[in-house]
Amino acid sequence: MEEILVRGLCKRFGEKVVLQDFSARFTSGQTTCVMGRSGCGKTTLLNILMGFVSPDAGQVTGVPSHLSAVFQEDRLLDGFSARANIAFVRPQLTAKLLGHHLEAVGLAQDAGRPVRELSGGMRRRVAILRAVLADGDLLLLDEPFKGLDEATRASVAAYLRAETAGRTVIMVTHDPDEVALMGGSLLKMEPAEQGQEL
Amino acid sequence: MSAKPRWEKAVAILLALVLWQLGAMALNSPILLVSPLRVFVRLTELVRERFFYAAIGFSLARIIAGFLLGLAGGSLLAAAASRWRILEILLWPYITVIKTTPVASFIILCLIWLDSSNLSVFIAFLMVLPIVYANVLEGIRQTDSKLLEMAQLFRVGFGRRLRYIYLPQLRPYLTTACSVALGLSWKAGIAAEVIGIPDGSIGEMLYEAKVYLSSPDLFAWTVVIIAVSILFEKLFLLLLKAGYRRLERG
Repeated sequence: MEEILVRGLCKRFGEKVVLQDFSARFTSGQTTCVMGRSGCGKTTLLNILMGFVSPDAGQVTGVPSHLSAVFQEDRLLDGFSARANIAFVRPQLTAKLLGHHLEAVGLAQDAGRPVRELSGGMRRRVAILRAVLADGDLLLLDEPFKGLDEATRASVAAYLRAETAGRTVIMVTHDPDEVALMGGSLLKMEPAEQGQEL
Repeated sequence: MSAKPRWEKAVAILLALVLWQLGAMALNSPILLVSPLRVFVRLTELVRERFFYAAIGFSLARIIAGFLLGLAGGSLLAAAASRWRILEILLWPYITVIKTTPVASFIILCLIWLDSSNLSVFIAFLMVLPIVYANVLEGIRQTDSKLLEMAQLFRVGFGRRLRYIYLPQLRPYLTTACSVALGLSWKAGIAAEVIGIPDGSIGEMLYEAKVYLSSPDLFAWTVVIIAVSILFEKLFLLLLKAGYRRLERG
């Protein structure tokens, strides 16, 4: 997979300028953490990469066609179980392999319950598992640890690091602790200004 | 209005029956208003007759067929109209005409085109179609766009999207549509039979009751229609609920 290049991205919603001449490079096979304050355009950047939002100006190249993501909201199928939510994106996954992954994120006991009955943290882990197991060529993570307690956050981050090794991952967050947990390179984003790779 | 407890419903029904009995006793004219006791006696006579069950079977089969055709047709048209806006525009005059035309006009018009024995199928179909169409179209429009985006990102095929996203989100719309359409299909279907008078139908029994001024028969058959209609509605909604449970258990 080639690297992902973002050049001169501009995006405004009404009067609000969200991205202004934002450029960045995301190396293939590595994790990049995009960090910035709330409202600085992190989610908009991911939405542009996912193709859900068109930039007003600028170019994005190298985005593969097969993506997977943890969205800002969980976007789960509420009436269905964790198993069904994962089978929705990866129906050919064997029960044994799925069981192993559910165990790894502490969801084995609750995998058969409708996700609407699960806690916020459990739902978040289902969303993470779905994204990891969908096996996309690019994994986009929008504040993936939102709603997880400290201990769970650390164990889920360890799971994510292990499962995404060698894959291209872009994670956005406002929390430096989450950057430290995920590792990889850091890209700081300033409100409506150009990104800076550190 | 909130759901009433069973005992409240039972008391309300009992009071209505008492009021009916008192009214019949005051009028003292079985042709004008037959008493509930007399209707009950007539019903006990009817249930011993073979034609009673044959008439229910005749009307039930046709009205159910019309309802199911309307449900399928309305759902398919709504799915197509949500996909192609031009189709929604082209369908609009037909749906509006079906919704606003008095059912008696359709019945008389259709009597010219159709055999009277199948008239109730078509009339029930016509009554159900616009209700299901409007509800399902609205349900599809209200489908969570964020879930659809998620499915698009993960490249999920139409079959799985239908099963996991559209059908669950359509549940309240389908339930409302079916609940309204079921009662209406019975009213319109029986009206079609009363006008078309197909042999061996409930409509024919009602027509004969009118001709012979037999109020006990008229009321007894009306009670049968109400009972069968409510039973069918409850059964169908239960099946729908069970179908959804099975879908979610996957």
